[in-house]
Amino acid sequence: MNQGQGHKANDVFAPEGAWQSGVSASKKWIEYDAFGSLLPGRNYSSDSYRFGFQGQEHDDEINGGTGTSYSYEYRMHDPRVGRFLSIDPLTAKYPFYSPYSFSGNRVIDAVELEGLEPWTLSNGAEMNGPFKDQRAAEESYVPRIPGGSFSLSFDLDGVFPSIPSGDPNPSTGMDLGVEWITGDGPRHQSFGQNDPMTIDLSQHYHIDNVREDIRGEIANGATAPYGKNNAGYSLGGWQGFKYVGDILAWPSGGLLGNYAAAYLGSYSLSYEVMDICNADCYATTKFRVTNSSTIESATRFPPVLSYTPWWQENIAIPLGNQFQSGPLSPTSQEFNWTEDINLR
Amino acid sequence: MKRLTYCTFLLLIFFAISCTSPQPKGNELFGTWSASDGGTVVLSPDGSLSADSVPTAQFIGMYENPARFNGTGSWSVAEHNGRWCVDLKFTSLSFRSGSWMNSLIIDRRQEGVVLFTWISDEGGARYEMSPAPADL
Repeated sequence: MNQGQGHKANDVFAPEGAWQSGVSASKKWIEYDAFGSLLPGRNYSSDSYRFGFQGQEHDDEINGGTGTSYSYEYRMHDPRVGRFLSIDPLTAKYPFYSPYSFSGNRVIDAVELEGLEPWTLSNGAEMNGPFKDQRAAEESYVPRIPGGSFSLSFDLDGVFPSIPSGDPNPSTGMDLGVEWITGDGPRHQSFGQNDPMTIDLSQHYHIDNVREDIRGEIANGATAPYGKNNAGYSLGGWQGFKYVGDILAWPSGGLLGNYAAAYLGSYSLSYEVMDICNADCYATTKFRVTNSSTIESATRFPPVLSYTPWWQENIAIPLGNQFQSGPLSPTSQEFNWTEDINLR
Repeated sequence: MKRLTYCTFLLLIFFAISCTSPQPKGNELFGTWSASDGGTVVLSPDGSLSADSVPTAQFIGMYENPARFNGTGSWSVAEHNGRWCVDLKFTSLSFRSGSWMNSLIIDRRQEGVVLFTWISDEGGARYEMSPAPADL
């Protein structure tokens, strides 16, 4: 493995004032291999200094060794194997990469953009420090919605489309699950156009089916603006077995199933087709998905039986009445995004 | 004994899911349907509908303001996800232009037919509409 010459902490990632010339005066002096693993006998760092490879904070408690895990904004990186521990939020954008690859395996001419994708020197990255416009680069990634595209202007040399302003919501299904179980965190979360959960949900096969329905409605003469409610994902009756396919996301690491749907279960969906055949024959469509997480909905795991009125009256509601606040109390989620559905 | 319990459980499940209700007849649905919050929907024999003061969140979904709206349009009966529903197509809405579709699920009970839509999650709380007293 090549040694990454640009990843020496003593001249690279120590923040201003943290490093002084000479080992004895520095808080950190480390040499890494190209993926960020420490070179044996060629590093020194005080315990109080938390940052390392590519300026990221290391979390040594995970694997029990110094510099064995780095916390990028979107994912955790294990430099010993040069891989992330979870899949790329932009995996749909990079079908040619393993969803776990670090920096697209481009560790010489690029640095990792916070767990999202490689960011090359020519795009403003600097090997010798946090690269220019990092925040702008992060905020400029846009979900790739299957079957759709965005009518947005391009900047950053045409690499990334610009996005509407607003703080992204980085919560994952796992985060939502923990918040629901522990009772900590917000009781309502909204997800917008660029949030990883929205991207994941928009790739659920049910959303694809809705897109196909919209194409059919337009082919049958529907004219904009028009909308539809009650287009949600149903798991009642035999359809409950569909959920088995969704939760395959967990054992398969996201290769199968869908993380967002695995957390949400059934969800409500409404959409509004705002414009048809703009430019190259797209239908500009606004989607809204809502869901609530309650102990009642959690009891509906058994297919068929759990959606009967008997179950609702005798199991779900009595149980739900016991958890109105604190752990397992109701939370709700809302997803809003707009996309252009290709009608050709 | 265990085998008997297991078979009984399977039979109960089969019974629960195999009781599909027959297709509703039009005269079961004609008339005025009202909810406890005062919202009403009138389904006419000629296929037209009018709604008065129905909740936007439950009928439109995409919008929640204004809280209630009036509308007119047409209706029909269709099966969705194994359940018979009244499909509502609003061609005129009091708060915005364009058309909007929604469905109310038909629930047959001992006391009569009820139309409902889920307030939030499927299987959870319902927004129910019953035949107005004059139509009983």
